[in-house]
Amino acid sequence: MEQEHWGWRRRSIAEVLWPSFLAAAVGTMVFFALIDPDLLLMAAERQADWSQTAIYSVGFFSFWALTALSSGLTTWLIRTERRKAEFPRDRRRPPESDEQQEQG
Amino acid sequence: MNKPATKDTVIPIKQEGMYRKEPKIYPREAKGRFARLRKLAVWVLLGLFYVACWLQWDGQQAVLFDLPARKFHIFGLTLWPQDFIYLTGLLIVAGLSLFFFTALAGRLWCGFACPQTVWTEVFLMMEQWVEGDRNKRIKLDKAPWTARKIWKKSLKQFLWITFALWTGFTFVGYFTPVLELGPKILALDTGPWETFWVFFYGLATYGNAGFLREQVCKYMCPYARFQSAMFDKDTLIISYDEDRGEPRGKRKKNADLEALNLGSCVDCTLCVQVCPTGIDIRDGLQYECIACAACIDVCDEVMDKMNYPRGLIRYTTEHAVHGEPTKVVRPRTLIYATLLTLVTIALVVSVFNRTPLRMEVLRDRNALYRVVDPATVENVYTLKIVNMEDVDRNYTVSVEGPEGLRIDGDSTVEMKAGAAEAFVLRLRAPTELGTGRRDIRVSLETEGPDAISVHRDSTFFLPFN
Repeated sequence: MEQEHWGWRRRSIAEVLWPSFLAAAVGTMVFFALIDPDLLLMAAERQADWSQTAIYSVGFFSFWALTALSSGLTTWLIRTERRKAEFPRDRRRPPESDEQQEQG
Repeated sequence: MNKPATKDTVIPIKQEGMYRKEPKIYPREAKGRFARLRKLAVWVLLGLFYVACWLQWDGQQAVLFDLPARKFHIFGLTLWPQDFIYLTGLLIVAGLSLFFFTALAGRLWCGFACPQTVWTEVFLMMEQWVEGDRNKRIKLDKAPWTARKIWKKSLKQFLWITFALWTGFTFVGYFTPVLELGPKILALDTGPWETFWVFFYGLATYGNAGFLREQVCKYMCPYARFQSAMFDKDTLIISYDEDRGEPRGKRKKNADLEALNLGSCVDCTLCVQVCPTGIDIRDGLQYECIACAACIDVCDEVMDKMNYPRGLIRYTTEHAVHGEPTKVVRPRTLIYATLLTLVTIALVVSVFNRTPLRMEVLRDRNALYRVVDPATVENVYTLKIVNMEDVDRNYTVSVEGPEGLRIDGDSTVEMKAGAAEAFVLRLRAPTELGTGRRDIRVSLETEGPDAISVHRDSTFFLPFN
């Protein structure tokens, strides 16, 4: 039932979600300190009947989605770079230079 | 040595990349000075969190972040979105404090004040109370699913979930008046977002304190990674006295250490067992160490039993370990302390001198001026006024400018407590002033003894020809 090991997948998820959560919290604070949700409702193209709490909440999760997307892409780019190093066959290089990577 | 390697010793590089598999950590309970200090911190900090939302001040919740009204109430002080600068200041103070205390005494924050530590401590207390000490917990986890195990695990989960939900409720209680939130929850009448946030915060507490625990510090926390940048050789760290402890080994009480060629470390491994992040402090300072000092407590206890002096593992500095003097006052601490003091003073002074009244003067966008009659020119402005006080106020508008400039109409304004409104201000001046633009100053003043005032500069346009 309880998790005994943290594989890279779980770690990546944690590394993406937590810093992006912090960044989203800061973003939400600054954004809504400057912009009143009522103004957003007025600016909306369609009539929306959202409560203030809903706007703040959706605002926060939109920020989080955005920051998580950015962190996620960065993590993915770094990981795929490493995978190339770990699986040399995938490399598009002449075979003679295709040496086994040192692993340790 | 020809046995196939066990699961624990192999590092499966292909599947796991550079990451090592780690066993679950069962921290043993430590008793002693630092454990008492941490318990105290837990009670004080969590006490503040769970109690502060219930306090009342002047007939309303003392600490309430009223998002729909866009006002923060903190013990009689009402902050508006325009006061965002104070929040920024507060965050800077918090950051500088973190730097200062880290430079001085290492990861005090991690060991004693971080919500992750504090809530984990409470979850561990509950776990310990239900499942018993470290050995019993390990045994229970290995044991088959008997009725007793199911009962213990369910009881623990029940306590954890209840506590987590109460935490979520308290969190939401800082945004929705808690005295209204309670009955609403009992009547299952909360708004969808209130319900969501109770569960979301509850789940975060449960996940972080019940399951993730030290993983948060090791993998997720940015501070854990950069705190070493604030360290120098005079920073307090938790350190094992290698010179004194080695060679480590088991021995009988009162054994002759010199004859056995042994140091003070009896190799009881208790310091490893109490460690919430599962490291061995005897391997030296590691970034996983959250400076909780549980190993100091437990080692002191062992030293007492062996009649050895305490402090084989202790708070010390790198300089002290190498027999050099430790400097508490040094450029690093001085700079942090100076910055911290300056920003704190600036913040406190500006909060107490803040004028709880705001005004903006906007010129009418349609017409620069209007000639009312051959002798009089009129300019129209919009006054946006915010009464940031918690009492109703009457204000007087006055204007300074060229000779003959006057307000057309009523120059008094009534405003409710905490209201933000717009008013039309008509200014008239004689045409004989000539042509072009003139600088003017609009002032707003309260009546009464503790008068406050604000002013804004604008312009008055006379006819162009």
